[in-house]
Amino acid sequence: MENTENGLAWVERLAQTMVQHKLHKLEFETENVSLTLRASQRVAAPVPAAPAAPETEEEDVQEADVVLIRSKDVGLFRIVGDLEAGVEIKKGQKLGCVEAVSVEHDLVAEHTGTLVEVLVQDGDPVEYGQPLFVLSESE
Amino acid sequence: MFKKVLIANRGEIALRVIRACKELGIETVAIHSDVDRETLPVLAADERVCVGPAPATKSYLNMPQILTAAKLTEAEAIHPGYGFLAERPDFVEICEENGVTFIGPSAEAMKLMGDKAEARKSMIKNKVPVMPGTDDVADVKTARKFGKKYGFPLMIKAAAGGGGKGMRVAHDESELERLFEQASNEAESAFGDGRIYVEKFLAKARHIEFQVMADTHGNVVHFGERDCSVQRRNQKLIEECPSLVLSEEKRQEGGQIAVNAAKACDYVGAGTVEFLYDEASEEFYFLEMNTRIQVEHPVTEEVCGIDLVKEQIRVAAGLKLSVKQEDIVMRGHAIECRINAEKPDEGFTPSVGTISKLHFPGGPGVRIDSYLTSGSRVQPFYDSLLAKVITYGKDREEALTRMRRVLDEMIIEGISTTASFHRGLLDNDFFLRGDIHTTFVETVYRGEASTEN
Repeated sequence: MENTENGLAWVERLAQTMVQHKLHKLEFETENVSLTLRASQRVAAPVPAAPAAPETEEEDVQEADVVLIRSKDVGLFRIVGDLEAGVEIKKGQKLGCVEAVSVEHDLVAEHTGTLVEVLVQDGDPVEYGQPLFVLSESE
Repeated sequence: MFKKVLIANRGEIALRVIRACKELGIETVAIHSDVDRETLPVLAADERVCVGPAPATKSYLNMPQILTAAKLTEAEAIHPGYGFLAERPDFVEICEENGVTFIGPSAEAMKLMGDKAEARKSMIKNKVPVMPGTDDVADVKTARKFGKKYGFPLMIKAAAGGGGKGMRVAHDESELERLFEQASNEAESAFGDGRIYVEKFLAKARHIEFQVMADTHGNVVHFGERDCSVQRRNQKLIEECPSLVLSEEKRQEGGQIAVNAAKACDYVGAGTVEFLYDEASEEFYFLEMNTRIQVEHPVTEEVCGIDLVKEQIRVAAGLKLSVKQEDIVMRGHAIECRINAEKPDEGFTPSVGTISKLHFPGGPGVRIDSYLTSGSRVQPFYDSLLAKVITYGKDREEALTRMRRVLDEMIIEGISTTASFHRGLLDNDFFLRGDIHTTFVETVYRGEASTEN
């Protein structure tokens, strides 16, 4: 995004894409831009002219927000409890900790949802930004 | 010798250290911020660890993350390069506590030389010549008294100083009052230490520095001098080796003073003792000692035929210096131009963007130390140095001719660089006859900087 005007037009286009595909959330990241768009209920689920309720609902479930939980630290990762796909996670729940030299950093869930995938094993060395869990965020 | 070294830096110096390690058969670990993932040193290293986001305070200055990266990868030593953690005694101490070798001097030597006022006192004690000045940290009143006694202009300096921060030249008493306060405030915000001392200021001095190297067995050698008089606001632009104005006798004298300065603080590793040199009186005046490998080290390497970074790693591993003083011979002439991502026509403001086209010339006597590739992003978060262009010749004229040829051929597109400014300097009569001093760029050569101020 070289200038603000182009940037705004570009965000507008992304927003339209979200409406078209009924996306709740869109995350976009490049080297120097990080953008998260969340649709409000009204925009994301426009009432269809001829309602076909069950179909829409199914689609909603499939397109629930999927977020990557990343490491914020360098160190050895220690998983807390039995975390595997399908496990419900509450916002604020401790998922593990990163053991660094003489200090431990807790990794806490920032969203409530269901684990889709666990990408890390207990005792793995991890780096900053490394994806550790895939979480399907619940509304 | 070490099996594995972690490089706690980025850009050209990270690549320079990796190259030295490869030649020594040492495995390398690059640490990087998340925006530097695709840069050359990160790709060239055997292993890589992302330690934080773009801002240096959260990545390249993040001591716990870097040290943890060293422990996880089982690196035995950390090379700090220059800048970032290179002159942080607290980092040296943390490394030691965790059994990782810091490639550089002890925390004590670093602390002593880092405090410019303390270093000055220590040098006086060890008979290293210093510029007349206040013996210790001064207040405005002491500074004024000093000015009356020795005359103006005076140089106001920050005790914690470095990189030209907190430095001002006062030409009279009223300027002294105003600038003293300014310098102190600047030093306070830059270093968290507003202590000031003042020295007599030489308006037409050259900046001449001596490269030293010390091992843990008590051996200290010097590799002659570099003339870094072409500066802009205390930032070096062009460095050359040897200096045009030193006789062999003065060279040995300066080298010996530098060796004594290193011995005075039980120095180990690569260091540079910087002097102001007054051509008229042929006197050296101690400025400071930089306790790191410096940006401009390649000109010494070319003329002395030595790899200073390899030597630095060897002595950190406890090996003896591979050369004796009598083996060190200076041959030919080398010049370095620092090509920065800056707009010389707009007051040297930083330029950021993506390199769209890149060509680095080669041929006899040419060395280019750079991390750039076509498509590289030049980030706004870090130092603006893009490339060090070094040319070598049998004499100064051949080195200069080569530098002109190289700068004419070099292509860096997509961002603004200082290459055109350097090219202009290479045709300046004063520069060509070597009539240069530390304020030469501001007072004599305005070149493409003429729109400034």
